[in-house]
Parts: sequence; structure tokens; C-alpha cells
Amino acid sequence: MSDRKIPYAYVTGLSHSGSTLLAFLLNAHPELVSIGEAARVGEILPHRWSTRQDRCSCGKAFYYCEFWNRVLAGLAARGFGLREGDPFDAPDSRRAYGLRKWQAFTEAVLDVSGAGVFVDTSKVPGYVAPLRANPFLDLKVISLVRDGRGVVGSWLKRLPDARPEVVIETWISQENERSAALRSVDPERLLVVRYEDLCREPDRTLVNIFTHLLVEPAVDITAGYKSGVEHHVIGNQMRLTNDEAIVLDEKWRRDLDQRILDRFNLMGGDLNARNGYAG
Amino acid sequence: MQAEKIPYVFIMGLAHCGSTLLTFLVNAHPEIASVGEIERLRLFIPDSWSRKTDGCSCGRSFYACPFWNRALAGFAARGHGFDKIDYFNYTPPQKQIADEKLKAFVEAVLDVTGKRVFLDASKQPALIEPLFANPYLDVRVINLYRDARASINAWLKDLNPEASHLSARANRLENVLFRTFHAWRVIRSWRQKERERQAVLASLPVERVLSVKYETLAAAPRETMEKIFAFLGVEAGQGTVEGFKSSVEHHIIGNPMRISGQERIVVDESWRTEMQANTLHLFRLLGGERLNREMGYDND
Repeated sequence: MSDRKIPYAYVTGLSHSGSTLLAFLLNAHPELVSIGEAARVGEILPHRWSTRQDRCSCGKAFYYCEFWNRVLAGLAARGFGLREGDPFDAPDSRRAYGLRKWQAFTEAVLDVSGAGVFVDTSKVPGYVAPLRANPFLDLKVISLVRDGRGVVGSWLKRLPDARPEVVIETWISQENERSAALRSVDPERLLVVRYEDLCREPDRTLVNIFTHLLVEPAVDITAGYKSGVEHHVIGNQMRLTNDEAIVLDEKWRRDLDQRILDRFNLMGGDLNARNGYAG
Repeated sequence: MQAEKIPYVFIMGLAHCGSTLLTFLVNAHPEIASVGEIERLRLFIPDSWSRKTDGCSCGRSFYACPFWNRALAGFAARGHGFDKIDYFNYTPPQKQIADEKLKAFVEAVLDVTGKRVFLDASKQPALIEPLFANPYLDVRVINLYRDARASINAWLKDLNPEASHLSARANRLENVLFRTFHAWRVIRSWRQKERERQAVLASLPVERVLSVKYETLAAAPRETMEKIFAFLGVEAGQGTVEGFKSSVEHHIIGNPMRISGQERIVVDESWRTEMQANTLHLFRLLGGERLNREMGYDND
């Protein structure tokens, strides 16, 4: 394993903030590679290998996907395997082991893809600290934010029986946890990206991200970003569709009734305004 | 997981006993898979991956070989990777991990090849005891042996090729002394390894062992292979002797014969012409003849 630090971009954000879309767009850049939510490989791959089921975003089952075969082979040849569970979850006594393992995994992906920067859209704020502490990685963070009403609207659709107050409460606590994790990040290494900007002006937003990650910014990738590039992204269902249109999802404006909006403004309006979303 | 035990065949023998040839012949059977000496994988795989060089017997580098990519991926998906230092660390605290690791590797290879019996040509007698103690494996042993004089001659060439060529330069005293000393060391090391092999052999349940002479294998490969297949409980008449290399896909770790195109099986008895009289004398003095006779060779 080389001693050069591996350029590593970590995307944090809440679920339903557009991270899978962002993973696809960034993976379409020739110097970047993203397998989506990297922290979930331990949960997904060993199980899929034994059952031979479940499709990778390339359309094949993970077991038959050449990319994943080569990545896992590279991981094994670097001395590590994937166990069911979390690749970051190494108890203290095995911390060095966990760090090396993560380095080996990242190296294997970069080796197979030929890209220079690894983009991880795991989103979980708790991983910012261990990634920052990993001496083998050169970490940059992208904070992906979305209007809290949009997030709450999406969550409510997934959980139709939940009380809106509980969902709003959850959003507030997760958003607070996220901003607490981001406070430890060197501001020079942090870039805030709004989901709404990404959808309205994808090209301009992507140029900002590419510049932040020090890769060639003048690459036009939005046209054919899915069909024109090989993707092996772990994320939500959009990874399996061919739809390439980038459309801003603001269905919350229609779906959330005034009572819920009032509750939201009362409980989380300040927090949302801090993220730049006026009431 | 109380699944059925995996049929696992181990070739036991000393270096240059013909194990790479036997591995190729066994791997040509549709029910048996072998990657050769798995104890040596650690010497090939991690390096090949970082340098992208080193040839698999299929002709590609290990890094570019689709078989190895799929087998290693299956290995990683079962939770294990190659440790460069001790791939099979059998010391007690690691024993359970080593057992699971070996099982994961064997499962991955059998999965990729679609075969059901695994053959390991690692050879070292010392590896057998932990294999029999591995709860996931149903182990059988092929005891492959060869005329001691042939082994010693090959080792002499292997360990110090210069020493055997020194004879070309006049019989100067220091050359003679050096050669004799070298031969003495090699014969002693052979004697120690041969005793170790016999001790392990004596400790094994007889119904689990099949002894095969290299000379018989090379002289009558078809018949010998049928005997081996019967011992392993795989279908008879399915082996391939002619074209055993070219007609079957092989990804085998072993000696350089794995990458040559040579397919003719001949008994290698080059020791008869190459071995010097004083080496043979030393062999006799050190009790080699007696040991060789115990193995069934009449020292003619």
C-alpha cells in the first residue's frame, strides 16, 4: 500500500437530500469515482454474495458485476475481507486494522476505476470524525443540505402513519447532529451544496464541487450522466432507473398542509433559516 | 452453520516430488478444483496485485486473471483477505480464524469453478495435523514420493546451481570440498524432512491416505489417475491425460512447469546421469539407502 494520502470526498446530508443523484453526477467525472454509500458495503455485499441476488446499479447482480468482483479481489489481495456489519466499526483495540482496511478498500476502488479521488456519499455524520482521523486519507467534506420541509415531506411520505411532530423532531435532531459533526471540519475543506441549486443549476453547482475537489472543472457531465458512464452506486432506487432528467422535487409545497407547515416553522423554522431557507 | 464438510485433498510430499504435474492432472477432472500450493498464495497474490505482474498458469498476470478476481472477491465477501505474513497461522489463538479463513477460501474457489472437491498441493507434512483438526473439512491425503536420489539431485541443483557446475572447472581441492560439504548439507536436510514425512504418515488413519510413487505416475499416468479418482470418490473415466494442460483451464501455483506449454509426461531420471559418484557415496554413508529402501526403492 502506498504512503500517499488518498484524496477522499465525504458527503454528509440527511436521507432524501439528493445524495444518490449527487453520487451519480460525481461518478460521471473521469477523475472521480463513487460507489455511493460506502459505509453500507459491509451490510450489502457479503449477503448479496451468498444469495447472488440484488442488482448493482450497472444492472447485473453484485455477484456477477465485474467491477465488484475486481474491487473485492483487490481488497482480499490487500489483506482484508468484508464482514457483515460496518467497515468503520472497528473497536479501539483494532483501530489500526480498521483504518488500514478502509485505506485498502479505497485503494482497490481507485485502482479498478482508474480515478484519483474517492467520493463517499454515506451521509452519516458520525463518520466525519473517524475519516478525518484516518492518517491515510486526505479528507474533504461536502455538506449537502435541502430545505427541511422537503426532507420532512419525503419522510412523511415514507412513514404515512408517523405523527408529523415526531418527524419534524427527528429532522431537527439529525440536522443538529450533522452541524455539530461539521464544526470539527477545517472550513477550507468544507463545501456546502444545496440540493435545490444542484437541481436548478446542475452545471454551475458541479463546477463548484469539482473546483473544491481540485479536479478538472470544465467537464460537461450532466448530459448522459447515467447512460454514458459505468455506475456501481449503492444508494436509493434511482440507481436502478434510466431516468436522467434532473428535476427539483418540491412536492412538499403541494403535499404538506398548512397545519404541518406551521408546526415546522414553529419547531424548526430557525434551524431551516440558518441553512438559508426562508420561511 | 453445521453444513456438510468440504471434501479436501492434500498432496503431501517433499519438494520436486512431481506435485505440480499431479495437480494439473487432478485439476483436469471435472469434479476436482485445485489452485496448487495454497500455502504459497501469499507469496504471489499481494505482490501481483500491487505490481500487476507475475504470471498465473492461465497465461495472464494474477491481477488480470478473471478466475483469481472472482475467487478473491468471493473470499473477501466471506470476510477474509490475504495476509502477506502468515496466510495459514495455525497457532492456537488464531486456529479458529485460520480454520474459517481456509474454509472461506475453499468455498470461494469451489463456487467459482462449480466443482465439489478441493485439492491443495502445499505438500508440507506439518500442515496436515491442523487440516485434520479443521471442523469444516473432510481431509484425505495423497502421499506422493520419489526416489531419494532424484530429490537430492534436484535440490542440489536448486539450492546452489553453481556447485554442480563447479565440476566443469578442474577438480581443485576447494571445489571438491565445497561440493562435498554442500551435498552433505542437502542430504542431511533431505533425511530430516523424509523422517518427518514418515512420522506424519504413520500418524494418519490408513483409510485416509493413498500413497503414489512419482515414477509410477509419470510412467503410467492414466492408470494411476484412475486409482486416485477412485480413492477420492469422484467419477471414473473423467480425467484428461493427453492435453491435460491445453484442454482444461488451470490457475495453479507451483513450479515453472505451470507456465510452460510442455504436455508430454516423462519420468525424469536425470539424476542417473547427473549425480556424482561421491554424492552417491555420501548418500550411502548418511543412511540414505536404508531410508530409500524403506520407501520401496532398491537403490540399483
